[in-house]
Parts: sequence; structure tokens; C-alpha cells
Amino acid sequence: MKRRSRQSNYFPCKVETLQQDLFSDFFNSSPDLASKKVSVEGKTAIIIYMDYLVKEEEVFSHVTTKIQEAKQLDYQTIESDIPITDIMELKTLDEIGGALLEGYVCVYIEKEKSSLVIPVPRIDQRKPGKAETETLIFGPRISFSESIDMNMNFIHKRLDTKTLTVEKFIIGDMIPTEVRLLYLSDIANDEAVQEMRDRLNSLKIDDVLESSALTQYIEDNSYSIFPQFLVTELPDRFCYSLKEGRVGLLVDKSPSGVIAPVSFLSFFQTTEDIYTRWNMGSFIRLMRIVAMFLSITLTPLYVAALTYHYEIIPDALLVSLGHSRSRVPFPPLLEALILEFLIELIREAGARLPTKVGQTMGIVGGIVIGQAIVQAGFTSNILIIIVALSALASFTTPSYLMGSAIRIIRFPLILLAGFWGFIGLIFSFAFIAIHLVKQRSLSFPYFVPIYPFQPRDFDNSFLRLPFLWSNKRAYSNRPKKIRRFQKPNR
Amino acid sequence: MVNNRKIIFVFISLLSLMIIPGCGHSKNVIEELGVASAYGLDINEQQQLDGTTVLYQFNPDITNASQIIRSTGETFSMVRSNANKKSGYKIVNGKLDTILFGPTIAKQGIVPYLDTIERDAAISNMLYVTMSEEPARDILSASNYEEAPNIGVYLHSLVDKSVRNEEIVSSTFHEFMRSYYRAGREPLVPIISIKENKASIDKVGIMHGDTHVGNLSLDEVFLVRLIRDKFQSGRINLEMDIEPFKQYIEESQHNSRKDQMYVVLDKLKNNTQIKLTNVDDLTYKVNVNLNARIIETSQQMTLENPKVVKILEQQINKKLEEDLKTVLKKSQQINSDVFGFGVKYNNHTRGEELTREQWQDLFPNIEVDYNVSTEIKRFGTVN
Amino acid sequence: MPENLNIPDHRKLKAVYLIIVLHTMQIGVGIAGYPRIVFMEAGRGSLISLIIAAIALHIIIACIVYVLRSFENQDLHGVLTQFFGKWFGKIITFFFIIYFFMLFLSVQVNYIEFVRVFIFPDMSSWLISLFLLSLVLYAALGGVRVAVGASIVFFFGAIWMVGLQIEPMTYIKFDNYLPMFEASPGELLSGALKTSYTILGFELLWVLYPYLNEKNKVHRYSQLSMSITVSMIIFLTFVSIGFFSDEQLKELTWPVLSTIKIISFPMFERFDIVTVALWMIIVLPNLILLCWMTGMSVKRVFGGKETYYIFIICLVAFICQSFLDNRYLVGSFTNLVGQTGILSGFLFPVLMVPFAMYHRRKGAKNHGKQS
Repeated sequence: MKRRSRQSNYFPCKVETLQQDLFSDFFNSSPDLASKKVSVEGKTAIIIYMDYLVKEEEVFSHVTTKIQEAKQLDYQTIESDIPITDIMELKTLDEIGGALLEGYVCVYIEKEKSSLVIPVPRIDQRKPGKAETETLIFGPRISFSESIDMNMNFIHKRLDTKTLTVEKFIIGDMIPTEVRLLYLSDIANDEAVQEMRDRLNSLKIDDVLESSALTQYIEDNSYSIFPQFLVTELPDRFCYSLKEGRVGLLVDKSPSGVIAPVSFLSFFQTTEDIYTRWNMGSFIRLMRIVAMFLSITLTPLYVAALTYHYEIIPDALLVSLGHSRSRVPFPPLLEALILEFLIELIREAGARLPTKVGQTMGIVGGIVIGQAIVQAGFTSNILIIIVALSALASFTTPSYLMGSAIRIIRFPLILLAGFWGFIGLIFSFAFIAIHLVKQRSLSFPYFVPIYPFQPRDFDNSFLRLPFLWSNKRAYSNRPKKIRRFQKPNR
Repeated sequence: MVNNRKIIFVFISLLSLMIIPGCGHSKNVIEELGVASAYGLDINEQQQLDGTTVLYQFNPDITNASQIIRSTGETFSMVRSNANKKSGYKIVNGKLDTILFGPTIAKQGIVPYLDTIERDAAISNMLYVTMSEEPARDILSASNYEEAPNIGVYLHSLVDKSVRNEEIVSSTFHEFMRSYYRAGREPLVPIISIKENKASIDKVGIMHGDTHVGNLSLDEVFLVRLIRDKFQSGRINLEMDIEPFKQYIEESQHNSRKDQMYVVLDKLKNNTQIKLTNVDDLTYKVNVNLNARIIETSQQMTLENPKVVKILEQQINKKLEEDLKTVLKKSQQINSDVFGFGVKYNNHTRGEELTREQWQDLFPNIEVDYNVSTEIKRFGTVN
Repeated sequence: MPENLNIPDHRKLKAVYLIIVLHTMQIGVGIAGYPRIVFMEAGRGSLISLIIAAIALHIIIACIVYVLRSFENQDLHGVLTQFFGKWFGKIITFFFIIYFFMLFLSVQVNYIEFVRVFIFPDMSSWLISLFLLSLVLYAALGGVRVAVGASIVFFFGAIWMVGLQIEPMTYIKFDNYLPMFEASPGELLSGALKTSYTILGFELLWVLYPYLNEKNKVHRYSQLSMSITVSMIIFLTFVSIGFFSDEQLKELTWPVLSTIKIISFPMFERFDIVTVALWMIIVLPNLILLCWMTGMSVKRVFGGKETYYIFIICLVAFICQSFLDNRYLVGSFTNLVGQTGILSGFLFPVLMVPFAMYHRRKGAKNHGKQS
């Protein structure tokens, strides 16, 4: 029997055999395999489906009833009677089994040489909701959902241009998952597209799991702390990036899209900067970069200054720092590590708890513990300010992954500053700088527009200049068309 | 390749494990430090250095008490290490603001004790060099130092304020050394004195090289600065003969005062040019252009009248020229060129650098022709 | 047969980068002590000495570019083998490798000296060396792109420090520049010679040339880079001379760092400590590029893999550093490197010019025969 199922000339067979084979070979005697035998004019047909994978009402109304009412039982009649598209004829048991798992209904008429499968999948999905990790104050709030069809729908609605090209990949040996590669064929750089295609094609994994997991399989340097692909849950950001000449990936069952190639600075940008006025946008972009810088420097600076370089502390601060430090039993390094750890603890606890409890947790953690910890002489109050400030600054980073990277990178910096003062601090900055220069995203340089130095891209990276000044796409993406629009003649 | 990387990774982590405990360089954790903010140095009868160290006080329970440690030693560094023996804190110099030399050292020369400050990169170049005519330890024991955390910080802000108000010539360590190394422009060092348990500046010491040879009052310092520096917004009180103004002074007040009149100028700016007119005879011509506003006069005058202003300006010119001559005479008597005429001389002579000894022979003989021209720009809200 | 280096186009760099890269190569540890060194020789004529050196520098660059442009895509080793044959060329390149390595070592030990004088007197020198060399390794192993990229990033990270001189500028006494033309021509010349160590580093062009796009612009950009360096050195020397009085300047080992000692910001009193730590960023491009070019030259002479040579260079530098651990040794070693630099950096390109002329003429003749 088993031998038979592998063969391509499996059919014709008896309907019972088919049912039996599917039931025992394919579904391990699953109780959910439903079947119904229909006889019309002496011919017998069987309808088989997995009951939780199909819309049963539609199966009854569009398939079963139609077959029962059919004048004559052959595939052509059925196909024309049933008002569902994408009906296929399959010849092997494997194919049929696979189709059933995808929500198809199998119809087999005895003695025929193939079987018919009709797609009636049941997709339970949540309605498109508001973005959770990348919230915008101003601008579209809709976020990707877990269904690739719905996500494609969002994108096609936003980009109804005929140059939007979609390529389909099936990735995953054990659990095949649909991955779509999207780009605008008249803008996106061919090398980037080809590189992404190659990487997806050569990817051999059991399961994709999620789009952010997929990025970790195909990224350039998996040892790096910095994300090299931008994972976003905002369709408008996704579409904006495609229009900039980047390449996008959508993964089925995943509520976020992947964008590549990206630069370090694009993690500090949001589409909101473009929706607001240019001066506001520029200010906020610069502020985020400054905040990122402060976030990773402040605590290490405190540790370095208090452990080694008391000279740099201003007179006025020296006394108050000395006062609050004189009660603390730990060296500054340990003090800072404890407090940073505490802040991370509060953040993580707040994220894991239900929203309302999480808020309470934040208040309890932030105010009560903060107050108590200073009074108990665990840390100095200036450090509380510094740590809180740097935690706050790290949350201004729009990308969650980059924000986390910045928070984590602080710990080695604090350690180095605690061991070797400013030398350690500058060493770690230099290391990060070299690392960023070395880094690549989809084989494109990561640290643009600083290296390769591209001053023409400053209009829409550090700053956000008015559209009349920045009518060009980023040079560093090497798009096919550099100009977004012609400057109006005045 | 992957194997290679793993080996490198393991190697690096082992290496860092080795290094981290091996980083045995000394820490300066702030609460374990006795951060010195001022040193006072005297010489005691045994010809030893008698140092007074003022430390920052970090214990919040003890309020308003300078930590002051006395110690003796042969050198500055020995004073510090002896002070270290008397303290539970490690005494460090990184935030040294002021160094105060008592009269015993000031008379002998202070530079030998400044060597370590120049050598040790940890010590700031912006600390103020000051002197006193009472023993330094007495000055540093003064208990009234306003809001400052200790007497050292107070002294620093006292001097710093005076420098910023352009009352004295700045005597930061860097500027002191610069003048010291430059023959022909002697350093000036503020003299701290103590009154009612509170330190103040009311004199400036004239140095000859690094020895204290005489004093200038703050009014005289103004005149020196007029030649030597540039004012951004200076201030001066002038005492003038009332005679030329008699006819303009309003009657009601006329008789109420004596035959002297006082004018206060502020927001004073100057532009001074020193010209060596004759190298052999050592004659200088100094043109001083001033502009200022009147902030106070002791007699009511109608300043709207351009004639009054003209007369006033002329009188000020005359007064300043006379005063400048007196100060020059005084400095020639002490034989210490605080104005910087020697530098000008050196700039005009090629070849050998001027030495302090050479200029000492020449300086008493120089002739200076002052030419002050004042312009009064404004006179406040009243006319 | 000319053994051209075949570097694929996509691995080549923009010639514009030369402006920054050559500049960062030159500015390093030398500049910190330069005003004193030149002032000791030329006194108030220092700026004139400097200008003499600058003119020489521009001429040398013109020579180097002239020699390099006689060939299509050659580096130092290629040029030498062309002129002197395989073995003799290799020997000369080997001398250059030693010279590059000496430069590398001198930069490293001088920075270690800074740190130990200004920040951590008791930090072990091997630790600082380990810091520097691990960064150098990390960058140099990434190849020329990363080496150049790191230099550019560090250039932008450090160039603002020129602004720190604004505060010292307010302390300038113009008397200190007078009398101006005091120094004799001999003194001026020896001052100019002493400048060599500070402006060395342009030798990078010998090795980097094959990696550049737009070869016709190389000359323009390198000259521009030289003038940036020269104007920066002139500026710093000018400030130092005005800031210190002459005797004072002669006493200070690193006048430029001492001028920074007076700077204080509201949150950073004593900015000099931060500056010396930040000086690492000025020094790193020197080290990274020198390491890369040494490794590259070794590879050209002996063949094999560049990666291993870079490892070996760093290892040897790490060992050598421990022998140069006092001020006197560091000073005389730096002097030695400076003097070698006069020969190999300044004199050598001039000597190459006649060979290049001969080569060009021969090439033209051959070309004529063929056509």
C-alpha cells in the first residue's frame, strides 16, 4: 500500500481506499478528517477535508450541495458548477495530502485518474490593528497582520504601480512557509534584489518561524549586536522604503515586514519625520541621534569619572557627588551595574505583565524603588538621574531591535569604563566605529552616509530637509532612478 | 573557517579573563579621596616647608568645616605625602584651585615650589598663584568663606571674580609662568589679606622674577593694566581738582563739598600702543585711547554741555597721565618692570634674548611719554 | 613584463578619500610635540621653517605622483622591481617595510607615553598597547576598505578638536611672535628638517595608489590633503608660540597638549584628560593604515596571505613596545624615525624621478615602434 502511494499512477482506486490511505498514511488516524460519500447516477464520489482547516458552511453550500445536485458526475461539470476559483487536479496521494493541509477539499470520483481539490481555506485572523511597537502620533496607524494576503493587500493599496514586483519563495523543509520578495522594478537596485534572491534560494532551514527570525538566517554578520535588516510592522514605512529603492520581504504568519539594505541611521528614522514639517522632523532626527549617543555614554562617563578622573567633575558637583557617594558601599562600577540592571528589570517586568499591571509596575519600580534605593544608600541620587536619563534616551530609538541593542551595549561600555576609565571608554567607541564601518547590510555598506562618505545623502538621513531640497533618493542605495520628482521651475 | 573563528573567540575570551584581574592601576574613587583645593606654603624656623592643605569635605553629617591638614617637609611633594599620613583619605591634587605662598617664601622666590605643578600633568594650569603678607596658614584658617564648600574654593572664586571684573592682572599658573619666563614683563600676584576672619584682596604684589619686591594698590593696578592689558569693561574711581568745573556745577550743591570732586567711570575700554621711539636712549611713547561711561559724579554738572564733557575728558587725561608717571616711578624704584616695556625693547633688538639682569640695568633709565585721550560715550540716565 | 596589481573595480576607492586619509596619516603623535621641536631650532622663525618644509612636501608629493603615474597600476614594490629588477627591488621594499614598521612602532609608543604622563601614570604599557593593537587588528584585517573607512570616521570624530584651540587663542600675546625674522637660514633649515616626523605619513600614497579610482585626480587631492595638514600644523604652531613665552615653550614636551590644559567646560573641568584619551582616535588611523601598508608590502615581497602578516606585525609591535618604555628612549627613537623619514620619505621620491623619466621615454619609444 505504501509503495502505491508514492507512485504517480495511484489512481484509479476505490473511494474507500483513498479515504483509508489518507486516514492512515497521511494523517496518523486524525479524528478530524471528515468525509462524505455522494452517489449520483450510479457513480460514487467522495468528499474529504480537514474539518478545522476549511470553512464548513462554504463546503456544504458550494461543494457538497453542488455535487449532489449535479446532473452528471464528472470533473468538468463539477468544476463549472462550483463557484470557486483555483480548482486543481492532482494525481498523487502526497499532493492531495499537502493540499488538504492547506485548507483544500478533495473530491474524488471513483475510477477517475485524478482527484480534484477545491480551496475553501478557513483563515482566522485578527483585524488589522494599531501598531504596538512602533507607535506613531501622527500618520497612519495601521499595522501588518499575521496574514500574508492581508499584508499584500495593504501594500498593493499603497503602491498601486505596475512596477511593484512580487516574487514568491517557499522556505522551510519541515514547515514550508511562503515568503514574498517585493521591490519596485524600476527603482530597486538589481544587485540588491539578486543578492536577496540568492540568499533566500540558498537558505535551507526547517522552519521560518517569524520574519525577524528569518532575518537572522540571512543577515551578513550574525555575531554583530546591531540589526542589519529593518523589521517594521508599519505598512507605510515598508512602502516608503520600497519607494526609496530598497527590497522588502513579507513572511506568511508574521506581522512584520523586513527591509534591506538599511543603514545604521535608518534605525533612527520614522515615517513620522516625513509627515511632520521638515524643521520638526530634522530636530527630532538629530535629537534621536544625540539621545542614542547620550544613552551609551552617560553612565560609563559617570563610572569613569568617579573611579578615575575626579579632575573633570566641576567644583559645584564634586561636593554633592561626594556627599551622596560617601554613603554608598559599592564602587561606582558595581553601583552603576546594579542600577542599570534594575532599570532593565523594571522594563522587562513591565513588558511581560498585562498592560494595566505593567503601568503600575512602572510607577512602583520607577518612583518607589528609586526613592528607596537612594535613601537606603545603595546608589547616589545623581546616578539615578543619569541612568533614568539614559534609559529614557534609549527608548527614543524608533526601532525596537536597535533600542535593545543600545541598551545592551551599555553594559560592556560600563565595564570597560569601570576598568580603564576614559581609555576604556574611547577604546569601546573606536571599536564600535570600526565595527560599524566593517558591517554590511545585504552587502551594502552599513555606515553610510559617513562611510562611504556621501554628503549628498545628508538631506534625508541626519536631517530631513524640505522636499524641494531633497527630491532625490539616497545615493547610497544606488537606486535606478535617483530623482523622486523634478524640481518645479520657479 | 568556522572552526578558526571559534578558536579566535575562545582565545580572545581567555585573554580578557587574564587581563581583567591584571589591570592593577590605581583607582581614584571619589569618596576615598581627599581632594585638595588649596595649598598654603610657609617656611618655618627649621627652614622646612610648612604646608597647609585644604581638602574638600564629603561627609554630609559634618557641615561647614574645611578639612585642613598641616604638615611639613622639604619639598612640595613631601608636604603632600606627610599630609597624607595625617588623613584617612588619599590626598590628590587634580582639583587644586589656589596655591598661597606666605611672606617667608614670597621673599625667597616661589618658583622652586612650582616645579611639581608644571611637571605633574594631573595638576591644572588654571590654578591661581597667590601670596599673602601674613603666614599662609593663618589665611587658610579663616572661618568665614561665604557659601563656598571650603576656603580654597572661596579663595579661587575671590581671585577669579576680581580677574573677571578686571580689577587685577590674572595670575593663573600658566600666566604666571609665562611672565616669569619672559624677561621684561614681571608677573603680578594678588595678595590675600585677612580681615575679621575673612580673606580679601586689596593689594597686588610686584614680583621680580619670582620674588616679592613690592606692592601695588588696586588703583595702581588699574593703571598698570591700562598699559599691559586690554580692558573690556573696566571701572575706575578718579579724584579730581574741582577748579576747572566750578562754573558748571549747579549752585545748590556748590558749597556742600570740598575742593575735590570724584568721578567714577565704568564700561571702560582701552586701546594702548607702546612705541619705542629711540632704542639707544630708551624713550617710549605710550598712546592710550579710552572710552567709558560715567556712572557717578560727586558734583552735579550739566553734562549735556559738550564743553563740560570736553573739560572732563581733558582733566581725566591729565590725571591719568600723572598717575601713570607716579606708578612708573614707583616701579622703577623697585626696579621691576610690571608694564612690559622690556618686552617691547626685546622685540626691537634682534639677536640675543633679553635677560632679566640686562633689563634690570636698563629699566630705571627709561623715559616714557604718556599720552592719554579719553572719550566719554555715555553718562547714564541723568544728564 | 609589468606585474600590474589587478584590483577589481568594485574594490577600488574613490580618490576623494585621499584628502582625508593622507591627512589623518600625517597628523598623529608628532603634532603634539612639534611646536617645541621646531621652536628649539628656529625660534620665532618656526613658521618660516614650517613653510619651507611645506613647500618641500608639496614637491615630494608631485614627485611621488609623477613616478606612480609612469605606470598604470603599480605600488611601491611594483615600481621598484620595474626600475631595479626583481631582487634589488625586493631588497629596497624590504627596507621600506622596516621603515613603515618603525613608524608604526613610534606612533604606538608615543601614544603610550601620552597616556602614562597625562592619565594613568601606572597603567602598564602592554595593556595600552593591547588596546591599540586589538583595534588595529580588527580594522586592518578588514582590508583596505575598512582601514580607509575607519580613518574617515575617526577623522570626523577628531577634527572638531581643532576648535579646542579657540580658548588658548584668547591667551595669545602677540609680543611672543616678535622679533620675527631672527633666525639664521641655517636654523630655519634645521627647523624644517625637524618637521619631517610630523608630516611623515604621505608614503601611504605609494601603497594605496593601485586601489584608487580616478587616477587623474589623485595628484590634485593629495596636494589638497597636504595643504590641509600644513595649514593645521601652522595653526597649532602659531597658537603654541603665542600662548607660551619662549623659555616656557622650550620646557614643555608636548605644547599642544599643554595648551589644552586650560580648557574647561561646564560639565568637564580639565578637558585635557578627555583630550588625551580622545587622542587615541587621532592615532588609530595612523596605526591602522601603517599596519595595513606594512602587511601589504610584506605580502608583495614574500607572497602569501596578508592576514597572517598583519597578525605578525602586531605581535612584533607588541613585543617591541616593551623595550621602549622610558621617555628618553621614546624620544630618541622618534628622532631616529624622523631622520630615516628624511631619507626614505623625502629624498627617495626625488631620486626616483630620473628613473621614471627614463622609463617613460623608453615606453614612448616602444609604443612608437609598435605603431
